[in-house]
Amino acid sequence: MMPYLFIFLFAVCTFARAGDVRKKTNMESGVLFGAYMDFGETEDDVTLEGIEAFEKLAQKKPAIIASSSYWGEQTFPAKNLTLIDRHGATPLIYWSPWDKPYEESKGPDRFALTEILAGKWDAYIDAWADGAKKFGKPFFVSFCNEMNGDWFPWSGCFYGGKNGGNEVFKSAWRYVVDRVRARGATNIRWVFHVNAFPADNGLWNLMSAYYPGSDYVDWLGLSIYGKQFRSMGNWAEFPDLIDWPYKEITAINPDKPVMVAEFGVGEFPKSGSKAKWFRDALARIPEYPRIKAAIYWHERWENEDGSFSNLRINSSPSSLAAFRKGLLNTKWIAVDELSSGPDQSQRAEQGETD
Amino acid sequence: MKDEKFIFHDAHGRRWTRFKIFAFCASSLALLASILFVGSLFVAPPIAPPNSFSALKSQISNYERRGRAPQLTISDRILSRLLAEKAPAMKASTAPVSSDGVRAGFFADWDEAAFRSLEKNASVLTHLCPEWLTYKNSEVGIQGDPAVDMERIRGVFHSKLMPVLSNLDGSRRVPESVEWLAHAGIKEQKAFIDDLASRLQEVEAAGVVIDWEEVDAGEEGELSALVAKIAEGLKAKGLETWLCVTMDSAFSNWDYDVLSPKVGRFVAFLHDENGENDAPGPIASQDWVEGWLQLIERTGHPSQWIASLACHGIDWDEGSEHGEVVSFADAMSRAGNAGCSNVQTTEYELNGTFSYYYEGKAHEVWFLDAASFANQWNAVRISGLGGVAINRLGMEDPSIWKMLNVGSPIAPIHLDKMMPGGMAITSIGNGEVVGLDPTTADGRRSFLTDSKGRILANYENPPAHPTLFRQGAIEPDHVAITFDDGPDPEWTPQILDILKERGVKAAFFIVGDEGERNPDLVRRIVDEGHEIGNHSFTHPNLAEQPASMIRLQLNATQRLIESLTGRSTNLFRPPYNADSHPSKLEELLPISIAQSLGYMTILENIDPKDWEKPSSAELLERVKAARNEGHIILLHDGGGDRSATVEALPAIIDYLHERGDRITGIGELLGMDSTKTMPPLSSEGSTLERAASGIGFEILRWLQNFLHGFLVLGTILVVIRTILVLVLALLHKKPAGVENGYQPPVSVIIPAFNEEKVIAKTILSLLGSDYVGELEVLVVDDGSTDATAAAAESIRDPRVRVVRQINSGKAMALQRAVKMARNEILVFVDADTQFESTAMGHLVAPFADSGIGAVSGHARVGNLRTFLARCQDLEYVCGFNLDRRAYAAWNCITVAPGAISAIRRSAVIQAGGFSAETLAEDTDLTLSIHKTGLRVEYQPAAIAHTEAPETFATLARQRFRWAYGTLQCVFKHSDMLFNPRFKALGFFSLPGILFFQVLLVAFSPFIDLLLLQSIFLGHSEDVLPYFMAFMLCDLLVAAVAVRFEGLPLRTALRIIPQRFLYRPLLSYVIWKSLLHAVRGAWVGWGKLQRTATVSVP
Repeated sequence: MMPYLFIFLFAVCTFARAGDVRKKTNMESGVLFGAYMDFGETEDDVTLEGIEAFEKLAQKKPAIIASSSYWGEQTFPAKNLTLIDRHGATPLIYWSPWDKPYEESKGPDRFALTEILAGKWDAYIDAWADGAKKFGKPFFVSFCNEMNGDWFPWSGCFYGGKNGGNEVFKSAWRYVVDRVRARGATNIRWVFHVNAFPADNGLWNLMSAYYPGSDYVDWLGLSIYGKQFRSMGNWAEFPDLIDWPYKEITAINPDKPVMVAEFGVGEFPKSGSKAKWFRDALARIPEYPRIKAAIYWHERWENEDGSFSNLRINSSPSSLAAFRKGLLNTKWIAVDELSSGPDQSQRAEQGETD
Repeated sequence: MKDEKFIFHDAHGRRWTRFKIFAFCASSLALLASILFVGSLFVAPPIAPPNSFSALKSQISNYERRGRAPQLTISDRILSRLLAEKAPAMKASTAPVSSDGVRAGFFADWDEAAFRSLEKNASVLTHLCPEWLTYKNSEVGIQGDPAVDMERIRGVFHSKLMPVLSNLDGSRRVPESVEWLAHAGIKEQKAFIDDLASRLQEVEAAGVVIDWEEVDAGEEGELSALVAKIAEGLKAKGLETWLCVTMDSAFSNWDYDVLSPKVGRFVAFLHDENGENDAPGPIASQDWVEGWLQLIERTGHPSQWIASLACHGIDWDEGSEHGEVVSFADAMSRAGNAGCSNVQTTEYELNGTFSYYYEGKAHEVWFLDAASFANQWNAVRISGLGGVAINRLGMEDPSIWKMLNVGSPIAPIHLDKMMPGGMAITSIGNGEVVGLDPTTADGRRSFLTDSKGRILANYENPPAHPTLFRQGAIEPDHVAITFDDGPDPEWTPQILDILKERGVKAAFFIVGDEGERNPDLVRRIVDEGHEIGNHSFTHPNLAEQPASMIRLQLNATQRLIESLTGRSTNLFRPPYNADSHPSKLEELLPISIAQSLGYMTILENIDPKDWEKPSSAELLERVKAARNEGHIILLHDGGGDRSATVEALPAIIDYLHERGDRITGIGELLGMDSTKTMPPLSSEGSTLERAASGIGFEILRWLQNFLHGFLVLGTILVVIRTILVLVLALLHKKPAGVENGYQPPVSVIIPAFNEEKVIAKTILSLLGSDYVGELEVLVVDDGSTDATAAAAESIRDPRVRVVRQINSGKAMALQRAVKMARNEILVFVDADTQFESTAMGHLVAPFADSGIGAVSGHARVGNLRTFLARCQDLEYVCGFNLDRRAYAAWNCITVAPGAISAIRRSAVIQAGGFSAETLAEDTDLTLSIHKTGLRVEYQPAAIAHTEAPETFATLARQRFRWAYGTLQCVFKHSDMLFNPRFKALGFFSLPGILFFQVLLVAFSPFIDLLLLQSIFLGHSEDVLPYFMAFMLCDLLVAAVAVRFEGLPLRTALRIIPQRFLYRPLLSYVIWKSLLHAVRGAWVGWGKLQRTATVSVP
């Protein structure tokens, strides 16, 4: 209880300040529309077919296209970046240090944060940075996302939890960012990407507890999910999912733009209306002044119990209609609505304050 | 006489001798060249294949996989979890009692092998389940695959039809539509059921097989409720519902208590333990099957279940999760070609397996066969299921069919040890570049049983089937663009421009005949770095051609490419059957022959059907949709309107680039450069044939171009002339007729040579004329050998005078008559020509005008007994009614014909009299009269009937005389050609004779041949329009002329047969005349055989 109260007070204090900053810097309004779209088991099977199929569904072309780069693949996703860039969008890469089989909740593997800090993966990090530099254009990297959960192996809970788990994380983050920058890959926009709600409510697991410092972060990111599993409890409406996390994350730094780095919800008509959830989400997100981009997680998967989680925007005709309608809000910026000149690099910059 | 100058006469015959020597040499050379040329087309040029087929075949080899512990799949894990659950108490069956005799077959219409299997085994099957319907879009509703040919199926299968309703979109499952329907209202669900029922009833189906996979069961079992509702709705309409159940987590998600009372049958998919998108492993291991059978028993009523048993194989790239579903025949073919000696059923899984290498990649194959089928079928019967479904037809080991009606448990004696070869077309590898091994051989296997009585197979010798070795799919993002049927002068340059602008290399499969017509394009294609492939010479369906024709087609095109580019090609694509899955043996023949000549066959899997002329957007969409199907895109740069292709090409290239693809040539697709696919010609070997073919194609092209140019020029001139003649003929004012009362004394001159039969009649027709002026008839008998003179003298009339002379030619006869004539106006009549009674008056009347020197009458054919004569009649009608009228209008009549004409005596003398220098003394004289400045008029009202030749031989002789004479006259009076003094004569009628009556007639048979050839080669559009223009002009002229004459219009239609029978004759005559002119021989009268059949009507 105590930590929440503390954060609440802190957030209230800083909220007013954020508003000032916005006025002062004359930040453009609007939210970049982005999506991750069913890119397969390793989330990196980016194909033009997949992108175009999604665009046909959404009837809007994402300005940001998200995909993953798992460390277990030991590659830099140059092809994916090129493809997305040629398509006109800006890539967002979830750069995730874990190994095959990519199963959640199994804890650290050979890519453990401690191994990274021990310098075991320097060569890979350097090679990856070289790939990024070679690509040359700005793109987003969400490194070690949702570290405040307990499902990914880089979460603080696997590194001692309250006994400095968050500190290990911060060190690893700085270590990796320093290394990548040292190779000259300055075109990366680093996204500090947390889950909207922590798995453990300890103070050590607060968003701010993982924040590696303003010099190491360009954007702040949030994962916001509604009900994803049939077996998961109650339906949660969107406003209840974003209000508090928004306050919490914007409190970390007064200036940095915020990205809803993932959001999505399953289709469970008996539990709640996905269409309403979409209506709320797409109407609400642009109302939060510091949110400058939002990435929809368009995926369907099968669970162990044979049930399916269908986060796709077209999981039902009503959901699809609501999503399309919500995107008509002019504050959602599609790739072809960007006011960029011939230099593509402006795309990623748009919405940034600095 | 003999010393008089005769035009073209060569007294010493030197010109002829020289000509003969020249002609002999030229024709010998031409013959030799032709033989060499044609021969070169039959001799296969040596083609260096980039990698010989044997090298390709050696890419496949045996490979012993390391043994490893069986791996548990997700399905295994679910199975063991479910089996571990406490078995529920057996429920009493609420389902209708069902028999155990179901023998169903799943059927894919697109697979020819499936149809062949159905033809053979239809009588064994009680139900057929064709893949037909899908529900993949809730807004569109149920969709039927229009390609499924129910009638063809019904033609061989007469039992119950149970079409499959899936949720497939291509190979992908769409869950959302079914999930939506499960949660939809009663109205929507009812509409769905009604639609489904009506579709089933339309094809007289017994029911439906629902195969909905990867669909969520719903929070409260909505999916089961939906299927139960559908089954209930269909049952009310007399239709049965079967439900497919996959052996995975979906098994326990169906609510059998809800479904069992409504659904007719559950179809247990006892396969896909490892699917094509899983890691390599058994497709249906025996324990796994038996485990699921236990669970099925626990559902309470196993007899309501049918076992869907598979009989296919899956070929994985080792260690990957990319497998290819293959038939049993394919599996055997791969094992056999790889030389695998250890192909057998595994002890543990009881599935067949083997491994091999192809193109440097390890493959792991698992397959099901008669042994695994027997074991599974035995287990299924022990569990008391209601029957079996073969999933799917065409994939199976043919030996399974015998088991289906065996009552006892299946034992090795029920299985075939001998496996016949050549039963299917099989393939190895991926890609659209294929080589073929047509070998077939029977195979052998043995069977044994394990301790539990289960059957194991050991393949000592797999059977061999015709096998396609595929290549060209190494890099997933490599793609080649190919163009067929060109080069085309309109589209190919545009396509080349686009390719050049975007720096893209493509391959052009040219049709030799098109290449022959567009040599510069062929060179440009190669110069700009593209590849050229052989697409036959005339684009026939090679599958229907004899082997020798296929070779000729390929050789001719190869020779052409070699002669134009200095490089050969080893790329071949058969016309018509270019999709990469040949399903019929006859489609393999061209591939096999091409291979024996050194070609690789380049097929394609991305066919946007640009010949359907879709919009460019649609064309792009089709490429997108099929991009993942293969690596070679088929477009067309020839053979029709390719504007859609040209328009879509930039977008297609941009799309491929955006997609991250590398657009390559065929060579690069195979990992080699284009000098391998289009090697420069080596200097050694077959240079003579190469030279012969090169020069031959050059000459052929030159000839074609010449004829084509001549045709175009001719058409233009004919059209202009036709219009001019029509206008002038209409403008021509008829000269004064008999009504002007000018009837001066006239001397009629009849030169006669052997005219005994007709002369009297001719004289009588003249004497009977109603001419009131003084008349003198002067007959000059030119030394006839018959009684011509006597016949003339027999007419006792003072006005008739008969003069005899020794035979010295028509001109001499005329000269003499002119001298003897007493009157100023001379009328010339042929001895075979009958004057109408008014003719004389009309003919003479125009001389009232002193400026007129000669008047031409109007000759008609009198003897209309034969077709030939009627043709000539039409020709006369046209010639006199139009040409002569038109010429008269411009005072450029070239001949006042000897048959009926009138000339002033003074004009004859002034013009130098009749000359024996030519065979056409009338033309000669007429032209000379023009030189005196007197006018030559035409009098259409002065009609005489002349006798036309009735046989081809006599006609030929007559026409030869005319043609030769005309040539002589034109030559003699060549000073008048284009001489301004003679105006229309010099610029219009005389050149007209040369062009229209000599040149055009001479070349018309070649133009006819060109037309025939172009029709045969399928580009008649090049020649036909001109030809039609000719025809139309002829028809128009004939129609107008016939109207002038007052004949029925249909007479004009005779011009069409005349065109095809008469013109070749004229052409022959012209050629003969030209030859005679060269030869310089003296030509005699060439007189007609008179028949005396002309009578004045």
